[in-house]
Amino acid sequence: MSEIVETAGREELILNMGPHHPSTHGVLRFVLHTDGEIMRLARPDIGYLHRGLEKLAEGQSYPGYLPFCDRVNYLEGIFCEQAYAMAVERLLKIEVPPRAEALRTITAELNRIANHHICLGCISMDIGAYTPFVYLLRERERINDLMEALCGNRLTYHYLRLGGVAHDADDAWLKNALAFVDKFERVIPEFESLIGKNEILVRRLAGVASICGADAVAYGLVGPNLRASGVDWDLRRDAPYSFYPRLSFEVPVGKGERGTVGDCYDRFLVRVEEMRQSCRLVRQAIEKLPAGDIRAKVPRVLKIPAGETYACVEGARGELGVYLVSDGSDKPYRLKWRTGSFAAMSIIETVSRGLMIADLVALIASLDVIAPETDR
Amino acid sequence: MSAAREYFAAIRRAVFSLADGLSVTVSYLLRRPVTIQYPDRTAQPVQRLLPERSRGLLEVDVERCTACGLCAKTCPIDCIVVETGKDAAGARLHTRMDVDLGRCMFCGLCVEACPTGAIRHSREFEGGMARVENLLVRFLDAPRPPAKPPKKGEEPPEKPAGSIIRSRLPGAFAPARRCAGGPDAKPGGAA
Amino acid sequence: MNPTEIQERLGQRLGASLECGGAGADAFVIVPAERWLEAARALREGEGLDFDYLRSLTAVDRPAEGKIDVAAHLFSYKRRHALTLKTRLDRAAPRIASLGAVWPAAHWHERELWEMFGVAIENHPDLRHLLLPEDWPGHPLRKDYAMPERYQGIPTRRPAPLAEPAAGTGPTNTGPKNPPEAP
Repeated sequence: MSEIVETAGREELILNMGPHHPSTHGVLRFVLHTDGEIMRLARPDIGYLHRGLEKLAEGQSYPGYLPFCDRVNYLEGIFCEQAYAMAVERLLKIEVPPRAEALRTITAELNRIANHHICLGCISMDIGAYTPFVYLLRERERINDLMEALCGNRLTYHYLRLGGVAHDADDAWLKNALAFVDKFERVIPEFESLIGKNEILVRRLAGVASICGADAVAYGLVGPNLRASGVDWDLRRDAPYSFYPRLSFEVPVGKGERGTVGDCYDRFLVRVEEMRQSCRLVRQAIEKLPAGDIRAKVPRVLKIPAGETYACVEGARGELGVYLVSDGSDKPYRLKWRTGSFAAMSIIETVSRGLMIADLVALIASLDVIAPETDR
Repeated sequence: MSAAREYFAAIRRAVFSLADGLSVTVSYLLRRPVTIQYPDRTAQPVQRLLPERSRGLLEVDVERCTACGLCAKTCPIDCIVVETGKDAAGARLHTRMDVDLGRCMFCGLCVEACPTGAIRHSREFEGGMARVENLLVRFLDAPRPPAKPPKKGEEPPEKPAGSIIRSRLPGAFAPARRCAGGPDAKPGGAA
Repeated sequence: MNPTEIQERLGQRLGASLECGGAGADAFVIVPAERWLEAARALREGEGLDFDYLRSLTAVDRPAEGKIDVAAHLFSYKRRHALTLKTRLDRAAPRIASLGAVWPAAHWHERELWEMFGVAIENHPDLRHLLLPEDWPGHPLRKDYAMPERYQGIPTRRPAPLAEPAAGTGPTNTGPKNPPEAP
């Protein structure tokens, strides 16, 4: 569907991109106002995947809502579970045993690597390089296998429980995880020479759709998108939670390596580097894995004292927050998800002005927006 | 002059980075492929390759079920129905044990809640149906007295994983696959 | 700055004593609805406050009190402190000023606030439905919301085979062949 609007001798073509388009990552529509190849405006139209997860929470028991958290974003299930579990645990004032915290960290970092596989693969696929996507999916498959062996499911893990985790990891699993990390660290340079330094990819991404640090903060960008814009902020380091205070890692920040700071290529590079750091984190967490319980004592029928809290974790797309209001009953009174994709989607309209249509695809992919997360 | 230099430098970079990338691709020609030809050619039935904890389709062993209804109470999306009644002599009867697998989200909360291990995840996952209503599985054929909670060491023998759901969802798993393992490797306990 | 200092400084700037509460990262301050935008400006630009990041903007419906509480979660990258800015609106006619001029991120949050809670946003440049279709009735996140049975003739609920009683005694038909498949 398209229509042509004539204004003062110039033609503006209004074009629908999506809801079913290979590069929109889920069901999502953009209304493009274009003048030739140049875009005047790209307006995201979201809500196709709205499942009412916030409303659903109001009818669920506290432990019963955990499996729903995986569905907030199917690519970073562990983070969503962790944000929710942290909110409930904070209101309940229960301490999570250190072993459970370490296991949460290990699975979360594996989850982050798996998520970045999809993101980096999609960036290259959307601008025309299909092979890297398949190579990364192969690596992701190993993580899925690891997660299935530990959690029981490949995507919707439901691994965390309020006050701990569901299953303990045995030595064989930890060995497998270490073996994966060792192998994967050798795959990253291979990926870089396969596509990361490819001149065509660099030309398609470098200098395209730069977002400056001030804009990124004002629009609430978080995580890799924020860091690519030169803002050095990572909740794992700056507001440590869970097992992170005991681990050391570096936070990659965009430097404008081939173009300007905050361009698509920076967002690409930051994620590649984050995968390396995640490997370090997994290895350290396994080495320092404390012995002990994996679940704190939590009553079966859970009533939570009235109150409210905002808990957030550094997810694969940055700050993933849960605003939880309790009225003292056994069901959440109100639950709000603050997701990284929501903010990233809201900046597209501003950044897209003056871009080429083909560059919009690079912008969407490099912001790593996921429709279920914006729509919830 | 410098524009021309940059132009040729870019071409040079493009050629070298492409060659670099292609060398990775070419190296994969010489490696063993990682894909398996599911579902036509697998070394074993895929169910056996899955890890122990894998959460597949739910199945209920009614001979172990005490009809306590904890699974139905825990289920976040109400996809389990347990009903009890009374027989002529006034004894408790287990009258209904239904699971709507079309709704089930495989979270495993019911399995954790079950005190006797009657409800459990099998490792079966291929329950494709043309109609979603047909995924409603009724595990109870006729009303029966619910099982007593077993004493330690006297638990009834566990049925092989997947055998119950296979008999309850006939057709969903057929036809038997050509597996390299020969006729003995036919999946599970399919009738 | 610790939460008490922030709350005090905001009170000074607005020249009013404000209702405060919470501790640590969950500290909040409640301002009157008509001073919402002013309070946001003060927090964004105030000396030593510098709240440059709007984490989320949402509401909580409280029908028992006849109020809708709006909460904005703020954070400052510069000063590394957090605060929740709240206000209470009349549930019958909730109105609030847009914060889009202070934090552009607020635009989308306010669109969601408007459609989910029916809170009218003043001076919003582009107040359209965000997640729901344009003709969707009601405000789903209000507590008294009842989901319509049909939307444009389409049922909004899936058939629930479990709702039917068990088919009496005797073997129950299940499986793909019985009852027969629809062609």
